[in-house]
Amino acid sequence: MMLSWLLACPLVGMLVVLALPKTAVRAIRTVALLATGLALLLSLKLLLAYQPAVAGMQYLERVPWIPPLRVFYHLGVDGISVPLVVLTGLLGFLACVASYAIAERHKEYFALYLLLEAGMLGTFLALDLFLFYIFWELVLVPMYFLIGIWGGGRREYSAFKFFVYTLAGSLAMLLAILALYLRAHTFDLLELAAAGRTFELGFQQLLFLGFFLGFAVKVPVFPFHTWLPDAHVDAPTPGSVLLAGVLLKMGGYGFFRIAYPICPAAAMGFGGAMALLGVINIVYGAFVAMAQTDFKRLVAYSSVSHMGFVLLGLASFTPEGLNGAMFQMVSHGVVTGAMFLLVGVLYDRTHTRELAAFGGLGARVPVYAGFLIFFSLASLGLPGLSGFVGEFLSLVGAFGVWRWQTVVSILGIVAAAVYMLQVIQQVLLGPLNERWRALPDMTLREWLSLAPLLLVVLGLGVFPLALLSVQDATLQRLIAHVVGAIK
Amino acid sequence: MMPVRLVLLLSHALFALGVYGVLTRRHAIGLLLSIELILNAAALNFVLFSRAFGHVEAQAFALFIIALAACEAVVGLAIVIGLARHAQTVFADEVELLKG
Amino acid sequence: MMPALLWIPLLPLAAFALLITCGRRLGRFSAVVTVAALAGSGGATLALAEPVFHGHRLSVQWAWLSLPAALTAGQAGAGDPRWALGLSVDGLSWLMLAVVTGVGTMIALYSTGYMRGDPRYSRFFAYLALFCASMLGLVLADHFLLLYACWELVGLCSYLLISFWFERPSAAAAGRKAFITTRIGDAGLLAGILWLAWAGGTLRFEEFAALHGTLSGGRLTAISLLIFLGAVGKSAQVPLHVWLPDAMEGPTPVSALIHAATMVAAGVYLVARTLPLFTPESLRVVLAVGLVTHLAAGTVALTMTDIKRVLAYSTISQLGLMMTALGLGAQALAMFHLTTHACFKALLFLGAGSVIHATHEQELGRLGGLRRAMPWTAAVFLVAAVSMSGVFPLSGFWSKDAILLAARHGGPPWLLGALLAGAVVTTAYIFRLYLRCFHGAAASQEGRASHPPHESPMVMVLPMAVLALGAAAVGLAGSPWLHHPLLHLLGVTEPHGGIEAPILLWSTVAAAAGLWLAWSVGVRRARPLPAFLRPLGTRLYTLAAHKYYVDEWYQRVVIGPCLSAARGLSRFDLRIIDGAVNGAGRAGWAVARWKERFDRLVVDRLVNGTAAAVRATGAGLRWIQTGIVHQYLLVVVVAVVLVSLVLK
Repeated sequence: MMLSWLLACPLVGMLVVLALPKTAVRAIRTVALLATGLALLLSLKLLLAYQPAVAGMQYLERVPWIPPLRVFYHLGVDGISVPLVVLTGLLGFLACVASYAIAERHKEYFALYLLLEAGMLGTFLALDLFLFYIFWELVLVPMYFLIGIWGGGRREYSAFKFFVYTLAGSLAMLLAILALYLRAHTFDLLELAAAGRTFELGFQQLLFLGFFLGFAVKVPVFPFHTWLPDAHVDAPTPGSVLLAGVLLKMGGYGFFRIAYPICPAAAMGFGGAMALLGVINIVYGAFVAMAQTDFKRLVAYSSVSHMGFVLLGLASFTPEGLNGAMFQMVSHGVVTGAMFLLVGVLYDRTHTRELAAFGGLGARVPVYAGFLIFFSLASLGLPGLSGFVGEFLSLVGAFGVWRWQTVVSILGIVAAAVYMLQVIQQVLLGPLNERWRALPDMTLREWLSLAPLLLVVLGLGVFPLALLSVQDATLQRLIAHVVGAIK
Repeated sequence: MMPVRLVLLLSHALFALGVYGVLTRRHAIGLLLSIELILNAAALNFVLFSRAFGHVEAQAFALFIIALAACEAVVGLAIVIGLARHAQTVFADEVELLKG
Repeated sequence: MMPALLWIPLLPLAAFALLITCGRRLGRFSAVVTVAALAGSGGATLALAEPVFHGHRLSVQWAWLSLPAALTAGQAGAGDPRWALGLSVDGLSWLMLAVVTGVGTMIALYSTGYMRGDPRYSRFFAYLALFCASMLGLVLADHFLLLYACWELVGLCSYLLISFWFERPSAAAAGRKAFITTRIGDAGLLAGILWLAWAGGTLRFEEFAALHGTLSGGRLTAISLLIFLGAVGKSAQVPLHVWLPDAMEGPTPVSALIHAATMVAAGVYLVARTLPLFTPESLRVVLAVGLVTHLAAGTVALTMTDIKRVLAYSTISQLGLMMTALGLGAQALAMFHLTTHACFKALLFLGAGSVIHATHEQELGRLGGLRRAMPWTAAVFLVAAVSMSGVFPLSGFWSKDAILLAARHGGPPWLLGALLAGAVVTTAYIFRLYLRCFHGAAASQEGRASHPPHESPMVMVLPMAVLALGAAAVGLAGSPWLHHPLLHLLGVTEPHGGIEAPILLWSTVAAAAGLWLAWSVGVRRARPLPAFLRPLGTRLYTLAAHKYYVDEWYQRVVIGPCLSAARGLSRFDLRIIDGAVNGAGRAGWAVARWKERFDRLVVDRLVNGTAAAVRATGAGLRWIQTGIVHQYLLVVVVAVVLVSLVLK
């Protein structure tokens, strides 16, 4: 029942928020904070209680839901979902802390926010394809409103683009799900994984393409990435954090949980294409990021670049590569989440995101400067911080398989240094821009929302085994499953 | 014994008079009176042919017509009164409620 | 009980952690923390000396990444041996440890005086401690991955310290340039590591020697050249040397420690450490790069007028000399020169820092005659200069002479000539600097009244004196007089014999020639060239004074195109890819609009048209309905008449 409790936390929170009067802002915030905090605690408890040595699913729950269609309410976790559930719990809580800056329509905001968190958790917990699809789509709706109502800039346009684009992707996935159901007469992911290996290659390839389109838009894979900068830029800060931190991971998670186990032969066949797309993501994203003048846009494009390592690692089919891809997903979630929080901190004070408008803030706001430098370094892959481990493992895994793609993607690492140092230089260094003479440093609330992320980044960078030991056994099993299907 | 032809002539004359009256009278009561003429012409015809051909049933029709005429007069006069009240006139050509 | 080995990097790391979290409260005390931590590391290093000199190898290991199912097999903690990182110390690393902790402690002590009054005083010492921790980790690493990690960390510290006075845009830009330029080299290094991990299956240094049997020569050449690329970036060799002169924007103690004595020497250490991977082909490349760097940077140093820039190019040049020695395969000699160089170059920088501290001036044209005002500084500077020129019997002589010897015996004949020319240039620029700084008339008196030059405080002079001792005497450790203990430490069992008279003669002549050049051209502005060669000389001078236009070339060939590529791709993203998405959206709208129009103009019109037709008909027939009773009756009558006529 643990997983259901976890899923229930935000949902119950949402109902309570809906029952509260609109003017009880304090109560609404407290309830939301409690709900997300409880979800975080439960996810941490799950992490501690999870037995990494057992590679299979744990904490299974299975109740019939729509018997004629053989749809089950089926939840469970393994080494792939546990880290992402914890990531969701952590970012969900911290972004909720950051949501205190939301100034209007609190009741709707927090209700939608909690619904969003429930959708994300459900996506990572569901083991029934039908249920998975429902949670997957459920995430879209609150995010659409978060961007469209509480966003800035061209928020209606961005929200609309985000919604329609991802919906179009998931339609391809829906087709694949239908085809799969008509063939195998089940939505159960575990049964499907067993059945999928027996499908003939052509059918697998069709399925894989359908799933790929759905996941590629979410990841996002070049050339399906252009919704991302717009959505990130116009979303409110907590929205950007969850968008970059968790929503993008849903795409990567889909590959691990659905596309790879169900269509292993096709996945192997498309490995070359995936590696190539990964490299394009890395280098292209980095170069485009270099030319950005808007802080948030730059971070958004750096996301594109970083998620390329996930693809590259996925395409390698080696233990190192898959571990690297998973690690990179978690690390990117934390680092980029923190970067968006930092952009938000600055934006709340200055109401601008133009990099050129800042300058010399390093002496004015030293604590902020420390955080920004730290997370920029994590983002550019400094050893000792989490970003390096993911990138390095992906590269090690991919090197033996996709030699030139790997070598080219190292260019992306150089470019990452260029754009990240550009941020530091334009925001923090140089003479102080007189406009910001009275800029206050970080408040306690902002500090509290960033410090845990800093600890996680440092901890994972120095002691990567903490995460690797959770996910490794499951990933080894996945590789055995995929590679075994070929023989 | 009156020759049938003569009586027919009378009834035709009555009928023609009635039609003429209907078409020319402006006063609503004049119209009603003219219609009464037409009905009586018809009743006369029934009686005549009843005598001429020995059909007694036809006389019953004459009685029907009388009763009908009474009814018609009642309704007609009611309309006239309504008209006078409503349109402040009893001349038929000054009222065109049915104009499309 | 933690082994002494662990204390060495952990002490400075702890100092960093302490200073970064509560440095502001510590205030002036932060300096003490760092100096103490470094001295502690130095003590631990000394404690290790005894076993190391006996040829023992000490190590500590722990699992960092542990991938393939080691945990499921139940052997927790064992992990994949490929990714078990560790620290270990042998002769090579011990020597580097001694250099880093020794020079580091002295420079930290010096900094307490130099940085006095700086608003970010404790931050400076925090960075310094972090730098030393990562540098020591780099030296102690027994695994390439750990070395790479520390390699990046020292690069980070270098960045932070170059940009320390970040309010100056030039300092901020210099830091960034340094980080990015070295990162280009690091990309090569990373590729080399990946290739090695995949092809060789090991990243542990002690197993490299065995790889010669398993890997093909071509592959080894490629891998070793990629590794060398990393060293080129870090050690500022041609063509990635451009960052080092700019790095002089940092505080001078930083330039002394990071950009002269230790970090830039890490490239030399890296090549020395991975020398088993280098094939004869790749060694030739190392030799060529080292030699070109040695000579090119030396000539540029002749023309610079900023004290620190002269020293920066001098550092590049000397690192080139070490690379040349490595190219000859003489790992021990390169490390020997690295050691002596660390002493005299750190001393030169500290002397320069003392001058800058006293006069707030670093332009040669506005300095002069400081010998009287700053006797101590002048004296130690002279010692360092003489040592660097390779004058018998100071440290520089022993290490440089050993390299000349190796070149004579192991290299092509022209190599010795080239190195001697380099020696002439070296002496020339360093004495030009010394003479113009400390001798002659005290130039440009304006502003001096408020800032009369004065000798630096004791806390700065003392470290300089210690280093002067080193610059004079450290070389003896590698001299035949003491039977080369240093070379034995580095694993050379049969060092070259004693002092060879011809080499001694030649190097002395070279030093004398350099001295004469410095005096006559650099100070008295004589024109030694015959008239017909003068235009050529001027040309060469201009070329060197513009640093061979490398920066300009990079700007045009690399940076410019990269930036325009970035801008172009960004536009491409916005116009083409996003354009396609928006275009698809707009096409959808267009179709919808077209359908809407069809609906409105065709389908709807059919419906409304029917109604309209009926209405029109009705309107046409309206006139019949007059509402006049007589007319209706007339119609009835006429119709009846007509019908009866027709039916008759």
